[in-house]
Amino acid sequence: MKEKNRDILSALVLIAVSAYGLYLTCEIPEPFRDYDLGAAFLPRLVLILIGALSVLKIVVTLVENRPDFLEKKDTSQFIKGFGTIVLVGLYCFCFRPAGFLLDTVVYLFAQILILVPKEKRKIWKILLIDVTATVVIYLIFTRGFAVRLPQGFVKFF
Amino acid sequence: MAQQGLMAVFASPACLIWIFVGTLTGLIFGCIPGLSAPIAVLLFLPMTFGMDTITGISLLIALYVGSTSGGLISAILLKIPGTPASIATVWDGGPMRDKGEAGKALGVGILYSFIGGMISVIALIFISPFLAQIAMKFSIFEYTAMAFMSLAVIASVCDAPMINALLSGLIGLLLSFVGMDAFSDVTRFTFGSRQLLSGFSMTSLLIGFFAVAEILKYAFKKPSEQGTALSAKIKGFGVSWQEFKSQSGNMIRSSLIGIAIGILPGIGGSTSSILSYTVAKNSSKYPEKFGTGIIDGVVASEAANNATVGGALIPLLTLSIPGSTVCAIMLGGLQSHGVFPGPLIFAKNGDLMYAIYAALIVANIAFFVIEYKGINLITKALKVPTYYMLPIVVVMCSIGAFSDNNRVFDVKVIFFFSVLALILNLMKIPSTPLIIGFILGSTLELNLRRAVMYDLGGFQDFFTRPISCVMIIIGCIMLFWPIYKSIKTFFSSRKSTNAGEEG
Repeated sequence: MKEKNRDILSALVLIAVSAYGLYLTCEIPEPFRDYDLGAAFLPRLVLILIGALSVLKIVVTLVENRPDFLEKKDTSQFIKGFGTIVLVGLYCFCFRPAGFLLDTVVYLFAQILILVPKEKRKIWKILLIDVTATVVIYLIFTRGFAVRLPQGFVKFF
Repeated sequence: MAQQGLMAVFASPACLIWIFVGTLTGLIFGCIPGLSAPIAVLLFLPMTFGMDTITGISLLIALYVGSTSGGLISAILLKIPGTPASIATVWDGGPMRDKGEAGKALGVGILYSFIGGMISVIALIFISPFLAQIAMKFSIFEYTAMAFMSLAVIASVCDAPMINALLSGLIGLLLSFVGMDAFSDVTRFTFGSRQLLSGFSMTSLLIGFFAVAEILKYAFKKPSEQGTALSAKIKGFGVSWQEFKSQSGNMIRSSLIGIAIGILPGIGGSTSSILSYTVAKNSSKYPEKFGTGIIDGVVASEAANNATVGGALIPLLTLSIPGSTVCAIMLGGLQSHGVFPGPLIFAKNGDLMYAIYAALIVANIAFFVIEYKGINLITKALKVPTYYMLPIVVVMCSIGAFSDNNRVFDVKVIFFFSVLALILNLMKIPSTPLIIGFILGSTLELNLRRAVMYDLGGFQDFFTRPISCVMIIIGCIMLFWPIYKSIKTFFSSRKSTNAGEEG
């Protein structure tokens, strides 16, 4: 995507966010204290400023005479990147139901597998690092620092 | 109070051991590109919850000092800055390595990092009580003005286009409004969630933005070969007595720049090291030699970035305004231990202040000794691949977010903020103003609304009170001066383009 197009698109997204935020502030009741600015004043001011700056950004982008670069993106990394987003999301959302140990073992294995270059992939090494790291981290935090981590549906110890 | 605080560190073997562990861990994190000071401090933050306050805060300080200093190792040996604070060290440290002077570069970097750090400790000891005294005179008007000025300063000096920096700060302010209003039971932007009634946890925001977001950014990058780190032998301190005398002016100037930059909110070691390097080059008798491998560049960069540590703690401890991103994390650590920094910190937690001074001194000495004696051991850490380290960092950060409030919701929140950080990164919107906006949002709103109610709906007292008025003027100058300069540049370039076309 060209740099200018990226800037304009990001400004449009922020304008949309600003408009939606202003709509949400309509539900905030008016202040009941005398001379109080109210709970909606600063959020509205900030949202209006975000909208105004985004419009200014579009104007500056269109008017500015800077060379427009086409950013070259390596699409081969997109699968790794989106895969990582999905894995981190699943890890965070399965933290309680699966429990820390199971969730972490599965996450670390899958995540390292995605990130390791193909020529350096050794399943036994990844498994060894995965299980060792999970157990060591679990013991340090639960036994060493008395942090209670979710057990999930599989109770290990 | 002073004796109690100092003895709590110096006479406590457990505290000294934790400072040593923290410094060594910080050094390792600092020297590995991709890991940084905020990640090191965030990882250990949950561990400090179970410690006593002084030991916990001393550990965080040791991590901060260690990770700031560790960046010079990879900057010199790999020509890749381990942390952003060591960017300028690459410019002369790298060429010194190429000339076979890696040992000398390391020795110089370590020595002047130590000196810069110790000078900033002295500044912290003398400036913070003075600043706390001034801050005692602050009222709701001064706090509001200070929050405004801090946001304006960070937006104008941030290393990004000003519009993007302002947008970042405003987004941070917006995120701080989520939850229940402080003056009434009105809820804002909670979307019906009970978990959001208290707003977003600062720890979760910081973890999401600075730690988990790193793995997302790393995954989208093409893997580059991790360079082989050359080992180096350091002889003596790397400088002769003659060289030390000739660098004394550079050393003091760079340390003062580091302290001054550290005091400014939200700006960290990267700005101070680059600024200090630039000033050293411009005031040198041989500026053409900078970049070819001379010790002046390494001295300027390393003295400044370590001096930033003490400087950044000054506004954090006396005004509750973080002087850097790491200080923002430490603010969370202090609040978790029931310590609320501000002008009354000497009165309420005087022993903690002296303990912080002691911890800084011990941490500086620790990194000095460890780096000189253990440089080859530390460089082994450079060989650990990032694709093994980062997933483990994500796991530890999730525990950190969970243990803050014992809520799984906070773990989900870090995912939300990591994706937000990725999106903002794509939009070229910087993260630091957002963090400062988030931290200062509640201060700004609370004090502004109280001030307006006190003034019966008016704003005049903001301008009749001298400190408040000065801060507002400074904030306006910081905001509008760059805008004025860009408009002037735009029109003068249009004029010269038109003149060229007519010619």
